[in-house]
Amino acid sequence: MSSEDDSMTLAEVRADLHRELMNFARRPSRDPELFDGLAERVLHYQARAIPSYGRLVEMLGADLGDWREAPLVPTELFREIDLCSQPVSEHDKIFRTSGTTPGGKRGFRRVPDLSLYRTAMSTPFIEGVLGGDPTRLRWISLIPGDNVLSDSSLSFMVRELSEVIAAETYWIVEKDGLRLDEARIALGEGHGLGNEPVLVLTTAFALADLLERARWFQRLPRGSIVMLTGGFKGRRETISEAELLTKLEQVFNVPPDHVRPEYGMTELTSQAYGRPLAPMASLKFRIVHPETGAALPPGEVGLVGCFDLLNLDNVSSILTSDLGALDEQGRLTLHGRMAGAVPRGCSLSAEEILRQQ
Amino acid sequence: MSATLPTLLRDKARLVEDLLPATVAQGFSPEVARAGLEAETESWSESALVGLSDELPTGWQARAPRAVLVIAARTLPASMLRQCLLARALGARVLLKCAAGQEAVGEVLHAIDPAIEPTPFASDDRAAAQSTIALADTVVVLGSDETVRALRAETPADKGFAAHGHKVSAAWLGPAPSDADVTGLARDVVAWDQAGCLAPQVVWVEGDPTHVRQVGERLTKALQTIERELPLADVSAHRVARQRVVPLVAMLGGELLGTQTTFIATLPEAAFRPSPGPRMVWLLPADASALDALMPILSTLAVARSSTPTLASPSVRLCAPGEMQRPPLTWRQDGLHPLASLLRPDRPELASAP
Repeated sequence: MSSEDDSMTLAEVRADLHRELMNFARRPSRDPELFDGLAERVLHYQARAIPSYGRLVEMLGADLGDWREAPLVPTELFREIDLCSQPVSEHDKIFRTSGTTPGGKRGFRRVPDLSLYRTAMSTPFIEGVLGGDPTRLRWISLIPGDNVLSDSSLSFMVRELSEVIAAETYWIVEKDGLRLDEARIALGEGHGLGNEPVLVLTTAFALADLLERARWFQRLPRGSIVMLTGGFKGRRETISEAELLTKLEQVFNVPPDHVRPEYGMTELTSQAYGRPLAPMASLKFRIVHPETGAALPPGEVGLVGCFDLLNLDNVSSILTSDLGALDEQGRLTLHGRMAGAVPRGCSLSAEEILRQQ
Repeated sequence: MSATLPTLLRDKARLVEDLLPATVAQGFSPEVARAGLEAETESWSESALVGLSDELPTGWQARAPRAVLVIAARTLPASMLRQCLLARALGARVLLKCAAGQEAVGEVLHAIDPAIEPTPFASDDRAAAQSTIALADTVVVLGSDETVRALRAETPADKGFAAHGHKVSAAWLGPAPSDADVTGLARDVVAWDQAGCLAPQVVWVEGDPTHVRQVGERLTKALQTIERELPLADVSAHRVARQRVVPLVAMLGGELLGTQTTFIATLPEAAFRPSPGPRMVWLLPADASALDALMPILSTLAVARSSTPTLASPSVRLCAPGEMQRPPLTWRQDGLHPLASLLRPDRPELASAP
């Protein structure tokens, strides 16, 4: 940690870090020393500025010198605690989780300043989804816009990106669900306008739904891309990724290498793209043993932890419920989600019951 | 004619021995499974059954069910066993739909008493549910509210219907509970590995934070002894839950106590919080409003002799610490009489519409 940070007020430390992180977001660097140095300062700032995180650090006697050993905050704690370093303001943006547990409490992240988010998102998206080609494509989004889901971080991201990268965007999911007629028009027009490739942005569930219901589609123009995000958590019906890829090729004529996975979540500012998932420069993954929390080496499957430099005003060190393994380059392959605790009957539904009162 | 002790209970020790392997297969240690099964069989006596029988309305024999469909929940076998035995006490045949993973328990019961007939069907198979319900005079459902609602809708008004949805239980201790109360509570926590509706998920302690902590330390000490006698079989699930809940405790300003396989955490807020895993209990400052808020879903409250909570609900079972997971045969679960709830409706035309 910078010794200067110790003598500065929290506001000064935050301003200083924000400036440096904005530079990082504008010119992402893969220099590990730069990342490690910033991570240490961010951790120290968060331990001071977010009292509940400070308590965790203190209880565990954690050394904040290395982000790889920073205390991880399970994502479900975003349902319990306002993990934000800044006082509540009417200008805060609040992102909420999708609430996949029926009747469950939704997690939330209060973001007082979206500048890091906005600045950082475009370049990795162009690289990870568009293969580095910034040519403006027509977008067809099965992800609702943030006029429909105002508290969805994914909707916010897609809308923000579409404004600066897309030639035109068709939003074909509205409040009442998938608009099949509009999907038909959007995808049909895409075919009709000189065979220009399109970008389809979708969650796995929405895509499975579309493929199930819409049997009339023509093939998409050659070179079209599908950005695929999310899994099937909380849904009874599931389809494997392999099945989804096969159907995509059969129905849309989009080969598997043109399907670009995205990994992000409400609790994070940064994303990862590709297969395996390559984190953007501001994000690092770590894998821990579910029972002991010990770090696992590349190749071993465990719980996915994230360190997101850009989560300056929230916590950066986060433990997901996803299972995955890293390769030697720190890229992630997901292996589903951690099964819930052993069924304990009444305990499981207690929260749901309370909420129904 | 009165209800009679089912033949299965003529040799309680044998019944426990026969059920033990299938119960252990559900994930309990042999010691925990044995203790739980013995507690259930010990609650049965001829005199208690006669007493219950005497409380039935005159002429009840005409409404005695010939067949009872018992739909079991996926927690522990004790509640299912009790419902089967109650039905047999009335002389009814039992159609038993076991939950996934419980099938072996049903097979053992059938081997001892052929009148208990395992009747499997898929939970989402509506036609199978309807045809099975048609064979019964009374349907007993142990399970989620969703399951109860779905099966109630399928049950005609001329059949009996007894629903036992999910509930939670808690304990309330004074600032300086007796050693017997602390030891009893420790037994309640480890019984059936804290599964089921009768296990304490939170313990409210009267007094200031020092008292809460002191009770936590004494409970920890008691658990260290009891755990040797009643070990946790599935340590993995406990450890996984612990990894995720430790940060929560720290970040909410709580304190960690407990043993290697029982997690006790104090928290400053009194509001009820579900237990996050097997053998994990919250110690909270006593607060009447927190207890009031829980009342609609509270099954059992263990109350130490030195404490004084006031309860508005007569349907909540009050007991001493140590008795939470040992309900007497006379217990009116969800306010229902154990035997009367199995009878066919007196006037079906007045029964609530399905």
